Amino acid sequence: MPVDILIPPLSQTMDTLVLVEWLKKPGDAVKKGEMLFTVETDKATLEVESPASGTLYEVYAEPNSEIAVCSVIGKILTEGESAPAVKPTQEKVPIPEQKKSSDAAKKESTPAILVIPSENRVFASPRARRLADLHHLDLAKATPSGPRGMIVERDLQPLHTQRKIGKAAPMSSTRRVISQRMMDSHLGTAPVTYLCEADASELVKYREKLISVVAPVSLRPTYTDLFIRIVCLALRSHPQLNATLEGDTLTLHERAHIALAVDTDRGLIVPVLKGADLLNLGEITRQRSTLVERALAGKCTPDELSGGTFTITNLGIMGIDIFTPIINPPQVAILAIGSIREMPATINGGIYIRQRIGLGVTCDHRAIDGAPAARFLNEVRLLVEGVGSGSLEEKTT
Amino acid sequence: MAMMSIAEALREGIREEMRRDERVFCIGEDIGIEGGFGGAFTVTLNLSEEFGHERIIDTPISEIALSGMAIGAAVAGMRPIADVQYGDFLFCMMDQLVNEAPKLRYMSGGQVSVPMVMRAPVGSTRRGAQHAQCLEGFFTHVPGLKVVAPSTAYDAKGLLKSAVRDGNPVLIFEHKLLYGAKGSRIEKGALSPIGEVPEEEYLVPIGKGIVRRNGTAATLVAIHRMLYTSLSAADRLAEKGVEVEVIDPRSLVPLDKELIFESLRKTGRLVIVEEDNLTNGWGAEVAALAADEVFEYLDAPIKRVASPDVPPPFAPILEAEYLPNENKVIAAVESIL
Repeated sequence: MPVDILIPPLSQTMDTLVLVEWLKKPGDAVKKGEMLFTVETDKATLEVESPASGTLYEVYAEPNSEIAVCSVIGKILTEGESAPAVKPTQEKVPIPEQKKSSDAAKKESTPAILVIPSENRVFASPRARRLADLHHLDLAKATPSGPRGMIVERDLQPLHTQRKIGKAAPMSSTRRVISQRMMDSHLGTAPVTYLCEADASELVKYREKLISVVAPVSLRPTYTDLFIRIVCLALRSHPQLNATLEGDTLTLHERAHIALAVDTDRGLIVPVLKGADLLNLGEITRQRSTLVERALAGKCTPDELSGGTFTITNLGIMGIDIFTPIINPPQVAILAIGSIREMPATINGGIYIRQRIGLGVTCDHRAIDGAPAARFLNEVRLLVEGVGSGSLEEKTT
Repeated sequence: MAMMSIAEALREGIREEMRRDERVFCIGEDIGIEGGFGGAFTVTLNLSEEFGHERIIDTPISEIALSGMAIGAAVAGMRPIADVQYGDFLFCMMDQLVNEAPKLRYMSGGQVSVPMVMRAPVGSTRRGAQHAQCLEGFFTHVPGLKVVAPSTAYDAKGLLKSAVRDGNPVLIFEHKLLYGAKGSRIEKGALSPIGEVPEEEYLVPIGKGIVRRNGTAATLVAIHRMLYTSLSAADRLAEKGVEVEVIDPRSLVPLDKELIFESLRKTGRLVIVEEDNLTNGWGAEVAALAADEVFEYLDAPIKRVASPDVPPPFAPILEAEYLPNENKVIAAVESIL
């Protein structure tokens, strides 16, 4: 039996969705779970997975048309299945009349397999839900084997195994790379960390102002974006920190390629924002956003993950005041950013509530002595505190 | 330790209680008549020889009269063990059993108690629509009634003795095919759960269930003949590598919920096997309790294997189709694995 392709009931408020485009043509091979078409709801454009593996046999709905949810918009021939001798006669997708109630639309629906993107409801037994909660497992990653297509307790076993709870198992390849690089750094560098605290009140205000200006038309800059800019400016006057050390060869780099520590499902990924020193803040925000999204989705190319000259790691959002990071060889320095918090500060003998931020830089003492490292960090601090007086703009080339 | 059938164990329990307490007496139809069976299923056979007809009282064929007398005697301080030939006839005494016996303590603010035992045979035994029903669902619904359902000789005696001493009306449902009656009262298709019964005094507390078989794949809950059906089904499932737990609740009111819940926390799957009609049987209550109180431990829908909502058929072929059996239990278990 060919498998029906349905418009999923994604929205509780809409009886219809717009089919934006087919991602496959009739005759194309499709795999179950592969994205088959995109739809637009009142909230978002979403890709919908194929309900079966096989060949996309025919489609009944045109792109950019409005279609009632649960309508059949095409058929898939499963593997080994040949085309029906006579084409079924349905073939006209019900385009809803304006007043069609959702009940009516539901009655017309075919009880076939509905494939709903993974952010939608997962069917799991109460027991599986409880255990997933308890062990922090992602139910959406389980393959259902229970009655009525439910995820049951046994389906969580593979997820446990992935997490290796109570089991010895080889590390994932990503973990092995992280492990090797961390050990190289730990054994192969002479790290020294310098810590300071900066007054971030101006920085907070500056960002808020910026957001009020750009938010309607553009992405909102993050503190990380601001620090990329600040670091690029600081590196310009402290080039010995924008360097790599391989064997006995120390290379000072002309361009600042800023590596960003990103926490992903697979572990730490450090994509590189190339030529960051040439970018203005808007460009930094845009490119950083794309890069981080790709890192989170596991889509970074090897090129995007290499070539960094300086690393920034920001744990401020996680409530960490300050920490001592580990150098990312062959780079020689890394900046740690802590959280911004309101604290009492003394200014000219008075006590004020100010926004304070913790900053740390870890440098490889083989390449950088204490004084230049301290001078770099102090410059970062001055840039942070001088944002209100235009420290970021003035130096833009 | 003597080996006894359920009928013998009940008789032994009655005998001991009558010897222990002179307020205890039996009342029913043809329970002590000379040359009779000792009730329909031999439970009171020969007791009149020891206790005389003043304590083994035969009544006319009037269920409302015998239950009214039993309740009256209980209110007056006696300890009646009333006997009805077929559970189906309890309907003749519904006013006595629902409006009077279980409510007098409540309505009198505790001044009146009704320490009465009502014994009633249930179950399909090729006797058709009016002599083969299971009635547990009707009576588990009545506040103030305790309902027990022994399935072994040990439990039959121990629960009967607890019932006599309880101080409240207790309904004992006994399955016709489990009595192990002998001679002319032998039943076709009967099981003979002859079991060990200690000679020394013991009681089985009302409200305590028991695990009859240990397993991890699913929990079966069953009483009476369905307990044995479930145990046989469990053996066959075990041959396929599926080890199910079998629980005998023994008492339906009060129900040993915690025993069932404890098992469900382990197995995550519940199949209730009952001979009663499906709708609103005691199994429905067990299912509802599990869904309410251990929902987060359930790994599959709750299943009930029960008789369909039609009267028990008289024709043996139809009756066999009507009753739950091993195959139906196995199919239910496999449908949720």
